[in-house]
Amino acid sequence: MNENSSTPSAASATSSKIGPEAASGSARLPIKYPRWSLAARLTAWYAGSAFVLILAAICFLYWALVATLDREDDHFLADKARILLTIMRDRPNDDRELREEVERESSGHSAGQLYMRVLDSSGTIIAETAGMRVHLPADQFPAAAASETGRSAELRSASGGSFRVLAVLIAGGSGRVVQVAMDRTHEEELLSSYRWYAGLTLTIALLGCAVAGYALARRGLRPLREISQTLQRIGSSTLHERIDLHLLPVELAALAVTFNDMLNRLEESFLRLERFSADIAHELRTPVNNLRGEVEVALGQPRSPENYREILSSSLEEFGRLASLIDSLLFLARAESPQHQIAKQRLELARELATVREFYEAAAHDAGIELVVTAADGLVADLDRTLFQRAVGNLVANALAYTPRGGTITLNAAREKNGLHVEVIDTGSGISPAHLPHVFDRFYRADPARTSGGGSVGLGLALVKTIAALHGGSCTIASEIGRGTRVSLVFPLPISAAEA
Amino acid sequence: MSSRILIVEDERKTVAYLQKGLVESGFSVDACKSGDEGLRLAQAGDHDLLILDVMLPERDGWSILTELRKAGKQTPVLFLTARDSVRDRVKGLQMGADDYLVKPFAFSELLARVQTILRRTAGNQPETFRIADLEIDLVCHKASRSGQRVDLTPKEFTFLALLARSKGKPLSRAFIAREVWDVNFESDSNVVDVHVRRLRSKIDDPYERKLLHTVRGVGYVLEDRT
Repeated sequence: MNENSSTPSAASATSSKIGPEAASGSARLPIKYPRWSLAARLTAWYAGSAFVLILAAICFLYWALVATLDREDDHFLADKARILLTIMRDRPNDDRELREEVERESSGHSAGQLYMRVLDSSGTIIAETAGMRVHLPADQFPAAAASETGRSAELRSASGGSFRVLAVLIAGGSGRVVQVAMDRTHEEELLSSYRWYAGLTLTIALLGCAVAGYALARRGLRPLREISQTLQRIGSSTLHERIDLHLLPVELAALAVTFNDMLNRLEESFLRLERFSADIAHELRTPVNNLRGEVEVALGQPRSPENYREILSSSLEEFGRLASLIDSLLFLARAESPQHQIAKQRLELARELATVREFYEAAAHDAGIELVVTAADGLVADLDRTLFQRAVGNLVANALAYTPRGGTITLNAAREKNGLHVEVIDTGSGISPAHLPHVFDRFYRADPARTSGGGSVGLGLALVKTIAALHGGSCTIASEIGRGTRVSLVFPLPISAAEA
Repeated sequence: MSSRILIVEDERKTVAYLQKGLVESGFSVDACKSGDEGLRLAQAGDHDLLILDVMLPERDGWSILTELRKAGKQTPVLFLTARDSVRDRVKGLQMGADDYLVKPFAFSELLARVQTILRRTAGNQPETFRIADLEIDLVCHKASRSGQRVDLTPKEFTFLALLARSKGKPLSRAFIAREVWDVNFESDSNVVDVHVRRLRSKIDDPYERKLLHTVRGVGYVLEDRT
């Protein structure tokens, strides 16, 4: 019995919230980012990160190349210096041999011209490669190091050439200094062309990354475009269309499911609204048509005063029905507005239920139904008294209509954890599960053949639900065919905990 | 002496039927269409009741009420309005209006409320009513017919007294439900009819002359129609 009870209220609670929230949500959408397309953003990120990675790789390789060349130059210069050192150590006084060796070593290097020079302690040149004086005067060399294994230095000569130079002080106290240098122009050219190729590679890579990135982004975003196209296609007349979930990636499937759910709710409330307006038109047209016809016929020929009185009375009844229908519809429409206020006051539930019971007692007695109140004393709630009476009254009137002679209608109130429960329980004919989810809909009648003849137009339970919602509460129904129906109104607990 | 009522209402048809209905119910009625004129008439005359529309040309109903109270006039005021929001209602009543009716309303409803207000301000109430051979004693809470005591529950007596006080004016079901059972909503069902049937079974059924009549489309009235 209670399985059914939660469904109608849950469904209706969500559906009734669609309108205002959706409106306010789209009204203030903050735009903080520049309005780039997602594809452009992804492309920029992709190309940017690829550029940085390639740049880093090229820089590292360049640095490694330069370091290797320098090390090789160092070794080369150290070797050459060591030859001269060896000669001077083995034959300290053979300067001719030294000059010949300098001459020999200086020629025949295709990679870069080698320059060598030996100075004595006073700075006088003992041996020198031809032409060295022009490019590399002795005083431009750095101070001589004690060992040939140290790092060589860069030197730019006055004539513009780039050189790698090394100066070594000869051990043994002679004070002689060996100066060796090699022309690096060739290496410089190599490095420069390397840089040029690196730049070219970088540029091409950047362009390639941008193009590939854009293509990938477009491709990746295609499902999103498809979703958006589907959504654009959906209008009030095509609300049944849904986003195809088949080919969507996992990330977007969740979004699409959310959209589809929203469309379901929209379609449902749209249909309900459509049905509602049609029902309004119908409910208004019937009495207006009756009135019009009745008066037209009445004016068609002279009649007796009694006859006129009869016609006017009949019209008055119809007017009364129209007025109360308009009243109910206005109430329902206004209750949707979030600004709608109700005049709450502190009510003692048992006393209010007793008032309602007293009013309906005579009708119940006539129908052979027992009407009892089982609410505990001292339960209070903050409610709009008129609306509360209307809700409970509607429920009692409903219960009276569907409970056979000998039955019982119980008005109960109890304090539960989630609020104050006010229940109207009957032992009537019950409502079939097929109708149960719809009974709170406006103009919904379980039996379509039952027209407004009885004055009821099927707004009763819709009003009850709206009244509960206006109080921040809810309304649930549970029913079993042949056993009876229980409608529960749940109201929030009063704010002060004095009676807790 | 009949009570004097001033109606300030700009809708021609409404004024016409209100005036007609109230005059036929035994009141003397003045009417005007604008707020300024209404205020002038209300300050000059000695009306027993003002019926004010809230929305009026030149000066709204609330403003008339405020000005009147400022000038020291305590004439009771009944507001008519097409706007039915709690805020409006509370505002009207806080400003010192005596009652508040939302259009569309039943004329019987208006009449009943007018009588309630006038009775409240008039002070001394008759202690007994006599309609044909039905006697109602409001002090002792007793009713009798042809000298025979009629046994009524407290609610039934309240109901009978309400009908008696309305002096032959029919009362609507909603008005009866509110005044007797303190139930403030328009009930679709024929609940009041059942109560009427019960009351009838006690005061009318045993007797030849019927006093409690149904007025179709309006409600119920207690009167001697012979």
